[in-house]
Amino acid sequence: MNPMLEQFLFEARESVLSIGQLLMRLEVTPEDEEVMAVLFRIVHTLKGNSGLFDFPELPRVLHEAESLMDAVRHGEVAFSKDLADRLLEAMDFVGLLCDEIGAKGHLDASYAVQSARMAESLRSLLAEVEAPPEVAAAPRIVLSPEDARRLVAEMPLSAQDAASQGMRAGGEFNWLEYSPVDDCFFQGDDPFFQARGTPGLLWATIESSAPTLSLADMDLYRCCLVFRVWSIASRAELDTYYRFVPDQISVAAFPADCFAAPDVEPFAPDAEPVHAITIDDDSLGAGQGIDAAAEVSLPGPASGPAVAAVDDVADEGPASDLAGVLSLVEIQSAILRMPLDANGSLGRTAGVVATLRGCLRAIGFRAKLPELEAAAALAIREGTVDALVAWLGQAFLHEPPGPGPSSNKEHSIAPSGESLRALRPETAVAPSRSPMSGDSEMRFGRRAEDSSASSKTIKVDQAKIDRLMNLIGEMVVSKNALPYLAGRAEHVFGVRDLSREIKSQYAVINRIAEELQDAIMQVRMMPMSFVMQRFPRLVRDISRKLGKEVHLVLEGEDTEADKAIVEALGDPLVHIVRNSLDHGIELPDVRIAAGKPAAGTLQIRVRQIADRVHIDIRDDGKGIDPAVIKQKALEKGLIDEATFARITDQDALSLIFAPGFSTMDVVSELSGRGVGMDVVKTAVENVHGVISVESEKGKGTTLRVSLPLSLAVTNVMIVESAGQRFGVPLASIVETVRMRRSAIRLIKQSQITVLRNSIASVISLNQLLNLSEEQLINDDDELALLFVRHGDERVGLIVDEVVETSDIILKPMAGVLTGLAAYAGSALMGDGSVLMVLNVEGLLSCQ
Amino acid sequence: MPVELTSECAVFSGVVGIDDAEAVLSWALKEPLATIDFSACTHLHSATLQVLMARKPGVKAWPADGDFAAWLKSVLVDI
Amino acid sequence: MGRTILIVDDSSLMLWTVNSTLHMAGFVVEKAEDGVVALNKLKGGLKPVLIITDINMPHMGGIELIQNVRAMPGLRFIPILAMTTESQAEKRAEGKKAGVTGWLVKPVEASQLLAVIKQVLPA
Repeated sequence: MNPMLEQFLFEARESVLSIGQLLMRLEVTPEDEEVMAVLFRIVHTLKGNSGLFDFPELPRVLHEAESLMDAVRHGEVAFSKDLADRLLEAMDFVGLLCDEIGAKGHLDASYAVQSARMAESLRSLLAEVEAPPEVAAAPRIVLSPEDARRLVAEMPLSAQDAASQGMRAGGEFNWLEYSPVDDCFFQGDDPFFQARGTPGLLWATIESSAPTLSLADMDLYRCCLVFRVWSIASRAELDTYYRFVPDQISVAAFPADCFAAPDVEPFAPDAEPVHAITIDDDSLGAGQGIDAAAEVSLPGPASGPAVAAVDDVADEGPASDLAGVLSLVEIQSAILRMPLDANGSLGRTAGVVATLRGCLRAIGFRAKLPELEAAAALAIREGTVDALVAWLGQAFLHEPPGPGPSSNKEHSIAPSGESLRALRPETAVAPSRSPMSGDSEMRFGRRAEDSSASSKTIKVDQAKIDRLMNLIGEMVVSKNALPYLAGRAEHVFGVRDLSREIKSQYAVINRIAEELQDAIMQVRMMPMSFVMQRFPRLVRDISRKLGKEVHLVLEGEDTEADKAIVEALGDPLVHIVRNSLDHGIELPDVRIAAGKPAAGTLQIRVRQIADRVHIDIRDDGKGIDPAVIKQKALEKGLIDEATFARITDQDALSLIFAPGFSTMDVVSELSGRGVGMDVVKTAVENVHGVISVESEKGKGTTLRVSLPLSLAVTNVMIVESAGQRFGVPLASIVETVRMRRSAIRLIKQSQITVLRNSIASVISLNQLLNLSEEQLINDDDELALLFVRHGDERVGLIVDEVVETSDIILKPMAGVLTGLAAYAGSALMGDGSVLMVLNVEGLLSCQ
Repeated sequence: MPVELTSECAVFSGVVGIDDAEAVLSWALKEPLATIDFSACTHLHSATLQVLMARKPGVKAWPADGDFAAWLKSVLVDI
Repeated sequence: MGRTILIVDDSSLMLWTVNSTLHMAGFVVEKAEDGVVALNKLKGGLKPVLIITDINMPHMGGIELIQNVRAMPGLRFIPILAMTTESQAEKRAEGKKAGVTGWLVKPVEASQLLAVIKQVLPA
């Protein structure tokens, strides 16, 4: 399975879980807006992500869930346990779909139906509340019996006949007045065209709203028409059709007794049906077919993603989604009925035929292929699509071969209508008990509580792993007491044998403890691919946007590091990549002019070296010009004239990490959202990482990030000062040096020295810690100095002695001590003593 | 061109949009006796329809589409 | 000569789906990723028969685009469909005032799209 899908499924399951929890919290505190906001955001994100994959079932359900949550959030729908039930059920279904996709890599056709119904069930909750304000804004008018009779009498007898027949068959009969606003042309409306398309149109009149229509003083662009329409379409259909202009129509239902002589047939049933505007079902179909296929409010398997996937379905063989295929067929039918533009017709027909061919193959109906080809040949020969439409009707939609495009709307395209169901049993195994038949208490095959815990991964609270980590840390430290004990046994008590035995036992415990520590750290480890897998897409999108060609090379994605580190690395890496694409790699023509291949290369290489992860992000772009950087830094006041004059090229490059530095005059849309490399640097340093830059003008730039594998173990340098031991994180130390006292000079109030030709300030640790003792010097009159990073400077810390480096488990300061910026925390040492670990940045900042 | 306007007859074909309304209006003012041929016309924008309703011109040929013809007859033929 | 529809959306996914549907239905499709691009195309002489635009976009949103389009002499009466996920009445009222002809509710399904086009665009 591709990693992106895997990642999605993983996240989806987590989201489903959180949604469930939040819904349950809302049941307790329905007024909690914060929970509501979080809930909506999760559903929204999940829906958005689900759209990236070719499983239309997921977004279909999630879209409705999102709309419902949105309505709840805005107070349009009240939160109730019933609603929560429905949403939880929907989330169970989403979880089930995820499991299916995870297990099989695809979804059975039956899920398409289930998801459509699940979506419908959610929508119905929304519709109960929303439908009235949404669509039915048109006022309801009640016709008096006299008015009704008068209006009916306005129609030709044949139309009256059709209406009364329809009403006796249980249909509706409505009167509609459409008075377009006078500036409607400026909203792109053509009211006459709207009126012509009215569903169920039986008879209509057009009147002028102006008292007299006079050519001479006519305002062309002011609409002064009023349409009166008699229709056998339902009230809902009319409201839906006129949903863009609900304030401009009024609808009234005719009472049942509005016909002058309901039981007397004025004409024989087979009288010639030539009516003024009476439109019989067939000719109506021409205008209505597609509308019916596509009523916005009608649910059904026809869906956007399915259409977008035409090519996929056609190419990929076995179908996983019968409903998708059927909806495709419906759309093909609708396309055939779209009004023809002569030039495009042949190509369009050919396209439809190709799609249908693919559909037939996909659902295993190869036997029907010859029929299709015959119909297609006929259609192309005759230059009309009638043969195809007729064949479609027979083969898929179970309608009688009709007179071409004007076929019956109810039967042809009603989504999930009878005709579709007729196909289903042959190919898809429907659930044994159809759960849907108008049953509001829907139950799918499986709910959350039924699902066996078959997953191979378990989700463990991070706190539990942290606890394990702490315990093993203490054990590692405690076991270090054994060598001391062995030493005491030998030297203090003089039992050499016991000492040896303790030592051999120690070796065993040590080995187990180290393996245990490693195993626990493994639990927290995750591969770098977690952040790197999004790069191919990111690089593709960005380079397209910038008009650049970029070849991305990823190496070492399997390299693992602690979860906290990998997660913390995501955003900085994305930013670095963006920067490389934006500022580093040049446009193709520039590259060619410079004698480089048109496509740039961006290489992201991850390696594990000892206990650190090294990430190199290298591009072969235009590089960084140190002179430009220096100039900018000077202009922005980041460096002074003196520094400008003597700064090395490498140090100049490092200025890109200085806060407030951006080489671009115009902040670029991509990388310049007010986030500079300084933020990247801070983020890397937060996880005890180091970042550096190398660049050669014209050749490219490399950013190197180095990180500890794990945050749990910290490498410290142990130093002595004023008779106490302190730990200094190795990550912040540049080098340790012994220096003659005379090499340190006092200038004004501060001490400085020259280290490798550059000046660094020097300060004594005792002074920083407010200890009164002088720092010790050795026999050669030398002081021990620890050069550490402080911002972009190096600062020498004078200590008494540099002892050794050691791996420690750093425990942050607790309680009131957390306020002490000078300390990063404490660690328990092997001999049982406590080591205070200094926070160099904090220490130097508070001087 | 969806609209061909001469002193004797206006020939409408295909969809006559709102962009043609102005020309139809000036034609209608200039040629009070001319007739209209709708035979190849499939739709008439409301704006043009308004002009024709005010003018009530003679019709040389109705649209081929019976429903559309019925709509036009209902407003262009004086009863 | 195929009839041209201009679609404006900052989501390339949306552009792609709508494009493929319209293309299959025989239209020529022009795409623009925001209001500014769309407006430039229209000022450059593009004559679509219909504009379909998203409402929330960077640089220039749908409402502003529509106001600008309605001010262009050749486009005062062109049908404009606005795509939105929002069902709030005030957004619609604002859109109607700016000159929106009809609404498409996201995600725009092919059938919905074709039906609405059929409703606002005489063949």
